[in-house]
Amino acid sequence: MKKSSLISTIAFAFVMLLTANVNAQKFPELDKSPMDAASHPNDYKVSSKVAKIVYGRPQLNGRSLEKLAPNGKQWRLGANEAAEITFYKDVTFGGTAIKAGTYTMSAIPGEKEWTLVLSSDLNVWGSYFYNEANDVARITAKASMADESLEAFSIVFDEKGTMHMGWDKVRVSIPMM
Amino acid sequence: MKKSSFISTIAFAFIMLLSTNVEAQKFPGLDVSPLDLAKYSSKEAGTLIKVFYSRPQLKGRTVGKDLAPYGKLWRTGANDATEIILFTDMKLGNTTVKAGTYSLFTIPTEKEWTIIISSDTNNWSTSGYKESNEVARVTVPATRGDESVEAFAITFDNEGTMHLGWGNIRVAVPFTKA
Repeated sequence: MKKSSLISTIAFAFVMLLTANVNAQKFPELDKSPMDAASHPNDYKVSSKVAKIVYGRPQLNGRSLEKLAPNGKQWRLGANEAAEITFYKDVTFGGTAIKAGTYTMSAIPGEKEWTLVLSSDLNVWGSYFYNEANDVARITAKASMADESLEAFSIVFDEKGTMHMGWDKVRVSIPMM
Repeated sequence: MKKSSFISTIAFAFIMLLSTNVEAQKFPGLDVSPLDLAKYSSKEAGTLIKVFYSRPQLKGRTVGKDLAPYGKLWRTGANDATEIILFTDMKLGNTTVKAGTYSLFTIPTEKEWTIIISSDTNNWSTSGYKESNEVARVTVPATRGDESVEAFAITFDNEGTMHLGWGNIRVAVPFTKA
């Protein structure tokens, strides 16, 4: 009798331990390639936006851009989830008319020019699930070289609404009107 | 003649210098409270909820006092107000919220937190909050976890409950399909 009650006590304690483990909610650490947002107008006090892009920010960490975003290969334009851009009204983006809405934006880097691919696919990881049938627009933008090297992949809108992308010494600009 | 051409050369060089400076586009550094994404999705239904929030860190400070002070409306993160996107109509408590993009505000207190969904979006901190734009409001208990979470975190479990964690504070917000 005594022995069986000891066993059942141990079993009960063990079950409690398991339950506690199940109940403890796990929370994610900070991402190595943190997410960031760029919007136009850039001013945080202006809540009426024309466009907002959310993207992951990988860092060079001593690696070459050729390795991280090789020329000629489709790239998720950042890290983790593919970059997502929301236009809050109809715009002309890199010379192409785009309807208001949210799109996935990926890129095909090149030495002299980059191709940006806007797709109606949403919530995709990387560019693995890319489906050409859902392409909304392909935009060509000139690539140039700057003096300064940027450690983290960066996107920013200037006052005119032109979207600038930069990583290492590569710079790509897409006008938006 | 020689002197004036010398001056104009210098002036020209100076202008060129200025214009290069003007043309160099400035890019932002990494944010100290980086943006992150919490997502509720299932294989069958796809993505149902996405929450974009910034992640401030404790750095020796206390939640409820120095950070997210008790009794005050909080942006539920840092920088811009936290954004919540519902891809389908969802229920928060007893209130049905239509699919769409909203801000997620909270009012923390020691024992319970008020969770507010508002139709204001793209606002800095709590600057855009208007009571008339509230879409749903629910009060949930605040509990304590053993582990201290350094960076404010939001995550969903498989049932659609949204968990907030910071320091030892834990808050569970139940979302269900409408």
